[in-house]
Amino acid sequence: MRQISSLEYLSMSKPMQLWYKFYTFILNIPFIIGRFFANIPKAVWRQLKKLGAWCTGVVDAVRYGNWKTRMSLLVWGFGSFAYRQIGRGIIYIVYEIIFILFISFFGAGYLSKLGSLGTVLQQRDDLGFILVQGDNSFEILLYSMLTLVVMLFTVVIMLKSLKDSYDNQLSYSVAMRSPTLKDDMGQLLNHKFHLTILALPSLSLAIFTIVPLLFMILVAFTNYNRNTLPPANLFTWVGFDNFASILTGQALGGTAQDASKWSYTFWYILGWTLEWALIATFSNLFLGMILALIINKKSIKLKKFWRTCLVTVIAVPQFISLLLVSKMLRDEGIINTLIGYMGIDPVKWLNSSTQLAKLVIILVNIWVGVPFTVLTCTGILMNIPDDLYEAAKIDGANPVKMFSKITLPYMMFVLGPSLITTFVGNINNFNIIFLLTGGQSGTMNSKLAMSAGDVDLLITWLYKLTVDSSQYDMASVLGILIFVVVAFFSLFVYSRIGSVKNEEDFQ
Amino acid sequence: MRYFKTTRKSAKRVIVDACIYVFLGVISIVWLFPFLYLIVTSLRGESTAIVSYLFPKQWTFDNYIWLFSNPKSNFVSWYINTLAIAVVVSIINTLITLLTAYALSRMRFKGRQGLMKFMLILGMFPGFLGMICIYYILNAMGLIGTNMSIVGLMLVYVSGSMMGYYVSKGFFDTIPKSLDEAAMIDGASRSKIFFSIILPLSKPIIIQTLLSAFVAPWGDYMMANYIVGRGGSEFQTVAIGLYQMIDNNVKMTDNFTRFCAGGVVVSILPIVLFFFMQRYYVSGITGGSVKG
Repeated sequence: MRQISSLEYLSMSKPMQLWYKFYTFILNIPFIIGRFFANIPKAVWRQLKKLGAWCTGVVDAVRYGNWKTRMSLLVWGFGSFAYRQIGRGIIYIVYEIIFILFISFFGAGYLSKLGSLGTVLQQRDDLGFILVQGDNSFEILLYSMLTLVVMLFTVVIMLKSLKDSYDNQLSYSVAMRSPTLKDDMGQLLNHKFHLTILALPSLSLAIFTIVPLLFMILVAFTNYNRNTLPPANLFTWVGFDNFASILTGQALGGTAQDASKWSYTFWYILGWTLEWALIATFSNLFLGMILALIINKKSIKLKKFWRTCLVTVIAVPQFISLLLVSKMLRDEGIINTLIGYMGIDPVKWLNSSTQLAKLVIILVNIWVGVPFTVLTCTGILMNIPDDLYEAAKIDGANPVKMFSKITLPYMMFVLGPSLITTFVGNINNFNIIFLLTGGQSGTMNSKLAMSAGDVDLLITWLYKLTVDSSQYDMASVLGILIFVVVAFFSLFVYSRIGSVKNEEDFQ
Repeated sequence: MRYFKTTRKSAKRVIVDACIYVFLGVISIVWLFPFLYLIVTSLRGESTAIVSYLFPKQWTFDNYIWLFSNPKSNFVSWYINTLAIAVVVSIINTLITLLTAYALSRMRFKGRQGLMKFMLILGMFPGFLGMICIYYILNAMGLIGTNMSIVGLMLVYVSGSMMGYYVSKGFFDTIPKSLDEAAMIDGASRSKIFFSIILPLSKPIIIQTLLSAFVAPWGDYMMANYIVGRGGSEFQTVAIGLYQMIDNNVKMTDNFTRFCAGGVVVSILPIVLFFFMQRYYVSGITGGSVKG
């Protein structure tokens, strides 16, 4: 469509204007995506520059430092001892000793086997007694990751010791005194308070989130599944085989039939996941908004009572309400009894056809999700200043106008950013699918790969691959692909909202 | 004439309002019906299986009594386990979340932006992905399959709490920085500012964080099942225990009314807390974003 002037735009009728806006937005989508990806190299370059600036500091310390400073590259904390910071020096040197012991007795052994993930197979005699312990691929991979994280941290500590002693060297020539351990401790409660409060959470984050994630990301490039379970068996690197079979159906390793099954299942489930997330998000948004507006209408009495009826659903733990509803929807369940009173034959709600099961899931999700929107919208509606409406009334605006010009924009302004969170939450909505259907409606789809059901989401399939069928390699690939999907939607929005950029505005 | 017009208008309004009341009534019944069903089924005496009528022929408390006193039922230990997890997790979680949010909102240090982006990206991986690895680590620490598995589950819930800083940071960002500066001129340290100035001002966000962290363990099935689901029945949480109570048709026949009774008991605490603190919950959702 050609670019039109603002005069032409204003002379169009209202629906035409709306259509024009929508049309240009659709046309712009490739450019928006393009701009997003074009910004990635710039961002990477910026980070590299920052890293470079940091490195020049290190290089300076080596170049201009005296022998005491240079010595502290070898013996960490040497510079601290030399400038009478005994406490700090002891901490550095003890850390160095522990690190060397850790690497030589623990880390090095695992790291050296990382390339092959172990070569010695476990051997047992006929009675099942272990003759040769053999290598454990799982432990090799896990402890290698742990060692790498520790090594990365240690490099930071090492360079910190170097910089410390360079700082000492510079300040000592001026002040004839370096900060003591007591000064350091004081700083930890004041200007370096962030170190104190972030240390322990970061440690637990590293052990229970970062190391497991690194591990699982690497598992995606191995053949760790139920045929290769350690310690009895070894698994090994397979490169991009798993990705190839799940995305394209091309078998680099394994059988071609398996690969095409995996990829059919993945695209089928991805399609349903996105469809589900879209419908669930918007149905809840619109129905919730309408319901909130009705309840908050001025002439309606007992507002609190109506709201309470709805939000009880939020308060009851989901596994109870969802399990209960799934039992109510059984063939002999109470819902079929109730519609029987109205003269309707019993319906197999969740176990006859895929389409009906999907519809029921979405309806139940409305039951579970709409109260959240109602609650949020009520909060927003109460926050809209009354004088806006009064001013509009004086200017002669009718209720429809007031709604479309004040209420709706205000609600969308607050709800808009939370939409993406809801959307992502729905992509990963385990509870409703698993507790309601177990991921399986009545019809068996024989084209689906192992343990996947026809109403499974990506997350429930991931769960089943891990828990039921021990296909850890494919589960990891799936996890990474979920990340890619989620990251695509989130980053896209975050980069456009820019709320991170102007956080200083409110202070 | 004028009089006539207004009455007609209000008559129309009355009809609209009446329709709305009917609509709201129907909606309320639909929304509350499952809970009504839960309660009456838990009081049914004549059969423990699922039946095709609503009201019991014989009212009884036997299902509750069975849950609490029958030696075959581990309900009391499930409840205690879940309560312990909820209390510990909500306290630690709130502490970590608020401290992280404070550091990221108030202090300017090297790597702050990087840390925030890193946690944002980390949060996009499905939390369940690292589970087999976490299971192995917990097993190596001796926290699987014994009564210590509850501690393991607590660790799993607590470990990621740093990543939930977002809403609290939004709240702290709205507290004027001049307060901090004034205190700093008076010689207060950062830690002092946090504990005696920021915290007392943050009651809504504290309560909201406490509440949501407290309620989460009651409804979690996915993580909990992997960590404690395969251990002994007395080491499980309510979600796992009640799920396994009716997970096949034979058990359904024996336990359905008992499951309902358990559901009622489990729901009481979250419901009371929720309605008690609903106000804060709303301000927690909107507080981070409304800055009008």
